[in-house]
Amino acid sequence: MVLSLTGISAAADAKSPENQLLNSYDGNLTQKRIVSIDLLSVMGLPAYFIAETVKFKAPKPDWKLKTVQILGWDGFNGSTQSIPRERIIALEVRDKDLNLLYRFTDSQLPYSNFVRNATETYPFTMRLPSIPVSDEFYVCFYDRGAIAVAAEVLNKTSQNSFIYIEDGNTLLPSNLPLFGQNESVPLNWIVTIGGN
Amino acid sequence: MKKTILLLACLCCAALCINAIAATAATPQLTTLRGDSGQNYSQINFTLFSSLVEFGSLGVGEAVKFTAPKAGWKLQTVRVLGWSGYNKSTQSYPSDRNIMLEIRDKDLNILYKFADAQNNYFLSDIGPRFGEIEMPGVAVTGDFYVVYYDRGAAPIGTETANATGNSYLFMNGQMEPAEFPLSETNETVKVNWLMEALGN
Repeated sequence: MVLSLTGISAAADAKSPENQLLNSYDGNLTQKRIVSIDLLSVMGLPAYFIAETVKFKAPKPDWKLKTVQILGWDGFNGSTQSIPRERIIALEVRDKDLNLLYRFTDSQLPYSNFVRNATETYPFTMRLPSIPVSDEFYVCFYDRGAIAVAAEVLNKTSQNSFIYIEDGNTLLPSNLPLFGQNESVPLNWIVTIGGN
Repeated sequence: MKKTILLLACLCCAALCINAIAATAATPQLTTLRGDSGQNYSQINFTLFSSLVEFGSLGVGEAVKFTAPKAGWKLQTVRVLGWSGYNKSTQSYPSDRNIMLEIRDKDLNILYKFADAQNNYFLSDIGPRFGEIEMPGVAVTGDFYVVYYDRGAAPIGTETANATGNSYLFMNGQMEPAEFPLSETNETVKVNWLMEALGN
């Protein structure tokens, strides 16, 4: 599904005066081919243990990660039938060796486009309690079918976007089939983090 | 069930991804602590217990006291035997409900707290399974408690013989021994909650 990007202006959500923002992508999103995917739809039940994952590099040692913003869609299109039922999403921060630094779960609704009466992709912003990170680290998001995460379609495998498999502590490239297609395409999850 | 799911996940991912595995983290050597009889699990007689069913309260937790092997030992994972259930007639799993886990020091101060939907840990169509809850290296020293709140969503495996005295019910801010009177004989039976603490 190709989605419009009217919600992106709300990305300022993650911005506070002291926050430095890091994007998972280069350039302007409005000029990219963006799709949205929930892993539960692609993989079924195993997706409960699989996360959309982006590797970032801390701008300096002991950089404090404070916000994670994921561009996504909860399925609400304005109709009563599409009002999402509450589900639990999870977010993890892992160091370069994939050790768990922080874990957070919550209902998707407080962050979703539905509660903001938005019917298209929207930036879901989660605030964290200043997680110190150094060097490379990973942000892992378990959509659990509650949120379709926006991704940029690439021509070659992303060096920064992955899918993370919880059991086995393993990263795989984020190459997945789009809806109605058999072949996998390289994807780059649209994530913005903030910190200082 | 989880192994089946994960095997499917791996196969699925292997099929979906063009490249081979990008990275796999080294598995750290973990020490496993148990609060039950320590017998082989295949030899343990157990039943499932829910504090919500027994006490009608979401605020009663099943707790096990462990002792850290050394000062500053890092608790990395808790494994709890539990089950969220499966309806064979309709071949359906239960809806998501919340469970909660706390780590408390010997004075019952909270060191770590985590809640999530039970199906992410205890989903199985064949019965109870060990759900693994990973945590970010919680430092513990001396005695500490792992408190699991089943909340009726995923009752906990309960060993009904060979009580070690390390299992408790955490209620009203206090640890009470995990023991229950049998109405037939008026005898009190102590139990062991089946959970493990893994760390290094």
